[in-house]
Amino acid sequence: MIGPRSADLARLSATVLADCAFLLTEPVEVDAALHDAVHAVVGFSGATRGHLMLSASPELAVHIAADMLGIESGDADAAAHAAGALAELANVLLGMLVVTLCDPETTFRFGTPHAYVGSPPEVPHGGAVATLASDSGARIQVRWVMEGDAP
Amino acid sequence: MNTITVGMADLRVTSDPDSVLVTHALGSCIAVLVHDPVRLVGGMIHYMLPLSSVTPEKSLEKPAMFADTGVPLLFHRMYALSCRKGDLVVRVAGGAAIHDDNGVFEIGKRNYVVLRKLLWKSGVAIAGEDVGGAVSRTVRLFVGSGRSTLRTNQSREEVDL
Amino acid sequence: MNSSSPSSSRETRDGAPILLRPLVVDDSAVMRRMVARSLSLSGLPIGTLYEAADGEAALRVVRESWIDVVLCDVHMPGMNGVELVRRMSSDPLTADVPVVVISSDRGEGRAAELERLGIRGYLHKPFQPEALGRLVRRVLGLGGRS
Repeated sequence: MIGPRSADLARLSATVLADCAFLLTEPVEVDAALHDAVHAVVGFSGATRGHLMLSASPELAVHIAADMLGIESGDADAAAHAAGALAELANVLLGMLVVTLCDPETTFRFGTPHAYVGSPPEVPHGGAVATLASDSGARIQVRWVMEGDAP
Repeated sequence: MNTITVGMADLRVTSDPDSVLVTHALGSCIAVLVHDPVRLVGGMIHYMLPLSSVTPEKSLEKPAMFADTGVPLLFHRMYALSCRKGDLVVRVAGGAAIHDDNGVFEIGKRNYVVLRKLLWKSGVAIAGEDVGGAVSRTVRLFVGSGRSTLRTNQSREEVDL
Repeated sequence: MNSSSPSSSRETRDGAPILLRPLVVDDSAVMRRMVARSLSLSGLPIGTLYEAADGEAALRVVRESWIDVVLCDVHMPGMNGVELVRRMSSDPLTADVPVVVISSDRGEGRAAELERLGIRGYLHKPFQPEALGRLVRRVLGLGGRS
């Protein structure tokens, strides 16, 4: 399995963000990791193993949760579900990426996405990074890392 | 049959059951067709852009140019004729990928995403749609029957939306 | 039967339930709410909506309550969707409850595996609410939106 190019990662991420969270984005040329952000991490295994990480500012994560739930950003539920919304987006994006990059008949196991606020997770070098900006200029970053073939 | 033409950046609502609302040449623009089968009221908007924040002054002058100002206005005009949200049947057409001089061709998709968000947050379902692709569409809404039809520049056949 | 109490109405017409009791199974609380909202928007007559965050909890609900349709994810901690479907299909008490899978897993192998286990439909995430409504109507043999 060959990992995605950053352009493919950006394109697929933009599609999922639009279709699942109604978030319009454009790719931008920024690779620096987002700090003090909400980070959602989901692993996968099968023919190969890796992780997908989705990072966004807390404010954008609240906005995303509100739109997915169909409520206003000021609603307390939006803040309460911000991390969960980003985690679910990571899950949906993983599904899109896996089927795009490898044989559709290959079966993968998806991990349970988990989300937290803080510094970006330590990741091995390599993989692909895509940074997108919303209409308001808020950034959302996607990182794809493969850990090599499974034994 | 009284034909009411909805132009670009235009919105019309009517309670005349003998009328048909029609809009032509939907490229990246989107038409939202709303019908109340109980009160026989029909409304249609043909909007061009997703968000009014790009030119707030324009949205005051032509709210129907933008999804975020025009679509709520369409529904308010229906409610002003005693329509109830739960009775409304909503259909959508347009949002094609059309190249323009700037090479920007995502505007159709953007128009559609913003509409989807508006309707989702308002608790409104879409009963039928014909969106995307690279065709130009003409749609009609027959107010008396609620029938909505579609024709594209690739097929002369008029089909139900 | 008493049809004035929505949560207990089992009055039928042509064999179809009047008020539905779906079970939504997903470890994501956000997705459970999105599915619930989609069902509401679809115009389906929902009586009581049940929720579970994993297969074990879902199995308890479907064994203890009348459930008209199970809408479940695949990848969940603990008992996942595949195991849930396997357990339901092998239990006479739950084998006839229709299951629709709603998942981010787009692999054909996964879908084929679940179809062999007897699921009635498979919807990929992200999904449009109308698509969910049409699928549930088809699975339950209900007519179009009134």
